[in-house]
Amino acid sequence: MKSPLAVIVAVASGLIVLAGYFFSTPALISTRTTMLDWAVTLAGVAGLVSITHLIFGVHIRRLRESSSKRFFSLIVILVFLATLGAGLYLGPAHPDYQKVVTAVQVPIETSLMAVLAVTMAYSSLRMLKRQRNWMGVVFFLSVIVFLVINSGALAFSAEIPILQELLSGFHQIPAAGTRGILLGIALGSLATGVRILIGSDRPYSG
Amino acid sequence: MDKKPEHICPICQRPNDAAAERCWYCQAVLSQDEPEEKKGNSDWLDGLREGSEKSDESIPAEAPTSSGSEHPEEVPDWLARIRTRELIERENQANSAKDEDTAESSDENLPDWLKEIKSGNSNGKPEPYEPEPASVPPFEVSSFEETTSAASSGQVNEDDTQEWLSKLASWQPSEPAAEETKPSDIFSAEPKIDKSEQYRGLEEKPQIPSEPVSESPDESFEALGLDKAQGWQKIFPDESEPAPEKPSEILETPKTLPAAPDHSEPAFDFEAFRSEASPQKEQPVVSDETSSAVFSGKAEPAGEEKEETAPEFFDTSPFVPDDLPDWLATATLGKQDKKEEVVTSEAETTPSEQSQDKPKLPDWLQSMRPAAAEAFTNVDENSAQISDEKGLLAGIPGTLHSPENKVDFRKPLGYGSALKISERQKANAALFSSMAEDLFDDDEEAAPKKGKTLRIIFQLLLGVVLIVVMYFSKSNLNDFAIQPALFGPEVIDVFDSINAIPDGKPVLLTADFEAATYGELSWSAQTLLEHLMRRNLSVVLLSTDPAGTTMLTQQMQTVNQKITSYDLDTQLVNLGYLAGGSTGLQFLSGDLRAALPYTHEFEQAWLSPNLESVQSLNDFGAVIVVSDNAEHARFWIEQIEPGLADTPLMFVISAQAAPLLQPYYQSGQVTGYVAGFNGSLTYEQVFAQPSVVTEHLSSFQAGLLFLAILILVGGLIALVRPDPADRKG
Amino acid sequence: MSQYEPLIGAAVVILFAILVFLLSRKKAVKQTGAVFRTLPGVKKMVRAIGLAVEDGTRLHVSLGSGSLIDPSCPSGLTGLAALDRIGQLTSTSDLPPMSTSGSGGFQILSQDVISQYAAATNTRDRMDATLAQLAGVTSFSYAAGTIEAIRDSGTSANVLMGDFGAEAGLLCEGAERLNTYTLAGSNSVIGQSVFMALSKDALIGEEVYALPAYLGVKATHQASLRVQDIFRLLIILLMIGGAILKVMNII
Repeated sequence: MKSPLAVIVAVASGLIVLAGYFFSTPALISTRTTMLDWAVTLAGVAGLVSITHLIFGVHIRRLRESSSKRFFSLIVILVFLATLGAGLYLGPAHPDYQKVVTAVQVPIETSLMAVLAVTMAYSSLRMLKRQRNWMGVVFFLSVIVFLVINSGALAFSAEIPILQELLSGFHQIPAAGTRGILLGIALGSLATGVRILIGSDRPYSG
Repeated sequence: MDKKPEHICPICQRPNDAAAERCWYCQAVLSQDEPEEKKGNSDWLDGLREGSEKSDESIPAEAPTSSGSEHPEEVPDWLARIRTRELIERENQANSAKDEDTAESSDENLPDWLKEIKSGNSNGKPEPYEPEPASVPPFEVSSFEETTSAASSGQVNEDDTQEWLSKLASWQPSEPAAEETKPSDIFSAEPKIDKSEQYRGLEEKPQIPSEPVSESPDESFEALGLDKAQGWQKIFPDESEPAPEKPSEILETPKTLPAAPDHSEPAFDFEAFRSEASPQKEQPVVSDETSSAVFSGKAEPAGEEKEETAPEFFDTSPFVPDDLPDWLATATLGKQDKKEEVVTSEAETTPSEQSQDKPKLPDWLQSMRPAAAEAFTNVDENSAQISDEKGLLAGIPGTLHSPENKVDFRKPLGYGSALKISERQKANAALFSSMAEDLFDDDEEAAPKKGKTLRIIFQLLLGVVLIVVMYFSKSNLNDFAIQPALFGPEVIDVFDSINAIPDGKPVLLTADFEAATYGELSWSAQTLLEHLMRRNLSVVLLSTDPAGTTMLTQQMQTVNQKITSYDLDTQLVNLGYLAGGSTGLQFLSGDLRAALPYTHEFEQAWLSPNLESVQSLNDFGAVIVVSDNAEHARFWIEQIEPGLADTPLMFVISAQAAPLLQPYYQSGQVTGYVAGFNGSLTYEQVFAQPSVVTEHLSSFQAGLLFLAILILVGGLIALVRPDPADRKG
Repeated sequence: MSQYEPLIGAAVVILFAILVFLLSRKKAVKQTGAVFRTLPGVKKMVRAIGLAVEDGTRLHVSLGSGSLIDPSCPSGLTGLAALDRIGQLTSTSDLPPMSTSGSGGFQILSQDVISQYAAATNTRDRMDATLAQLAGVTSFSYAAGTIEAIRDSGTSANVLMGDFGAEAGLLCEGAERLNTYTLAGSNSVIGQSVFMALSKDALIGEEVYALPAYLGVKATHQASLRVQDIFRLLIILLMIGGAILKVMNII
């Protein structure tokens, strides 16, 4: 059973912050600022709790189970503990500690981005197989057109005014479509927020 | 108690209160001038009632006046009526007893049930039940007479009597012969009526006036109201040939029924059949007319061997012998239970009595009778004849013949809960499973694995080819790289804005990207950072990502290797990580110093000489955001830009976010931006300092063109030739 | 910022709330029943839910790497509502649904939602702490961790509903390699374009926020969707009117 206290706190907090945004009175502004500080702190703590749950709730549990992924879970746990210890000891500004980011995290994620590029190229090849409709064909054609435009191969268009204007028009099309999508997303976000404020949507429990 | 004058209802003949306007029983209108006594009524029942009434009248009034000294009790009308009826019934019983005595001699030939009725009404004394002797013929002695019992005395309701009498009137049989006739074997074969107590009332003799019974069969049929062309006579009209008459054998039906259409010819010529009937014992089909004729006959001793000699009345079968089927012609009659002899009351009544007892229905009742009422009455006769000999309804007339249930009702078989499969079913199931296995073999499982392997191989191949193309292009196709002809205005504005930053004002450089896009953004931001270093502007680093400042610091160090005059230790201030995302930006916009009180090394940030003059974001020379996410760029625009007065807000963004930032640039909220590889290439050309981007232009262009061609070809192939191996998840 | 902008914003929020409240009443629902256009992706997802229950496989709901205090969190909250509804629908399945997220706030909320529907459907004994995981703290590490979670859990269908960027391509590719069905939606335009190219079914724009209404979570979801449509029409009229006035040099 959901506690009414949680609903009251959630609704009151949202209304106060919203009122502080709309009505800039000193009291409301100070209250809103304080509550936002709490929210930022709580978000950080929530991140720490989630990471702890990931390590001790998921990976250590995998160690107990007879699974082929036990070894990798062990590595994760050991590396995590080592990184935590080094960060606490050396500090985040230490050049040696920063190598964890520059020598490990950056190469890994950059590699993932490269894999993504190849994956998306491969999927683009088979796009028409998956979506055999007018939207799929338009998407396919736009991919090719913008790949060519962004490659700079049409630099000679500067000498052809019609082609230049045409290319300028192509640059405007994504912006127009994006605005329509963003408007809809804004309305949806407003609806979701209102449902939270009136207490209808309660993803929390007491 | 004085007997109140009563109104006798002309319809149902029941006494009613004198003051009543309508009959209590049948709601008929009572005429005030109607005499108490009945008008001349030819109803044979009236005769019986009269006799009983006379006897009732002779009975002194009882009960209510037992206490004569007392005041006469005030009795309600309904109770008075009930008492009056009781008195009348008693009188009737007394009269019937007298009448029975007087008419006993002439009632010898009356059917037993009629005799019993008379005795019951007159005497009111129950006659002891005597079991029927074995030798008594069925029609000689009324079995009803013998079954009088104590239940019939004093309990007979006049209303019930009248009801059944009226029913009986509808199926008055023909008058019995004057002489005793031998009952035929047919009678013995007829179903017998059980002499149970419920039929005690039938034993009462109806009070009917003695009337001469017509001796002609025509009159009998007329009395019955029967059409001689009904029944089997209709089917075999030629067979009713006149036979030599035997006066002693002619059955006369009593004139007890309403007038029937006059028939010139007898409905049934018994003589003809008697002469033509074979000596074989045949069981005739009991029809309406024959039954009446049958019932008019007298009973014979049941003990006689009826199989040997044909009865005088039905010596022969009523059917023409040649027309009978063989099985019927050879059928024999079985012995009858003497106790279940059919009471053929009509056959036992004398013609005179039957003529006197001939009932005459009142007009209102006759008008209500349907045209085929005779059929129903005759059906009653038939059903009476074919009533069950066994079973619950044994001996009850008017019931349907119950089917002979020879089914043995046993507990249904239980099949149990276990699945019982026969051998044949097993064989069929095995055959079906073998057929299904052939359809869904293991090859299909191998197909997805094959598809996955091919997919991986093709992707690897694509990656390798792409890398080879780009590497080859960098080394060999650098001269063929297409230089941009036009510079984007957003890049020019960034260049101009950086050039316009006053000396001594720091620049806020924010890292809002992840490690995955560091490779692209590092190239995009390199020339801009070089420009800042060349101008010897102080840079304040800030990151909304935990690893952003680290990456940006590394980038600054990389650029610093090229521009060694720039002192990172004095010119660079690292404020570290700003938590909260957009919420933190709002905080930053509101109170800069409170939002970032410490540096990345946990030192007091605002004590640095570079930040002494900075109180808010407006005190910065420029705010440059390096971002890979258009949404985050929007957060900066929405949260930070409103608080910036003259400080330019510029972006170094990934190529994917450029279209989303363009409207903000066009609206003036963003001073300028450098987007992706092309933007940085333009900036290098504007800055006139070729850098890493210019060196990799050929690779970049070759890779993009290669991908464009590959996608075009693959899409066309997919469009023309669909892949049949594709299956949904 | 103009001095009227906050007032306009407040009026819009208050009006939106009033309309949602009015249209979510039983009387209004009965009188004016909501009729929404068919979303093929949602239909397929509902079918996939049924198939997952029949097969005894698991459903996976991914909430993205957005933060709870970011403006991109409504898409994650939509994913939470979908998780709640899917949990109710699959209460009879052998394997309860699983949730992955890229931030601490959503991870804790998803745990809360799972425990809610477990209590409601009396399936607490089947619940596990690992059903709500923090797959990764950065976008690409979250994508890699999510693919690993899908691989190990016997998942047959995925619902990607949250803040996704370019890393969504890795997620879709991994899901397709595992031969699972994917319904995806993101508040980011980049994520939507990637889903459009790579996933089986994608929700574009505000269709992401309409998912709870189509799943029939609550009456207020359907009411808010209807109010969204009303406001969209108002915005269209305002834009057209403003353009006309601008052309006529009135404003």
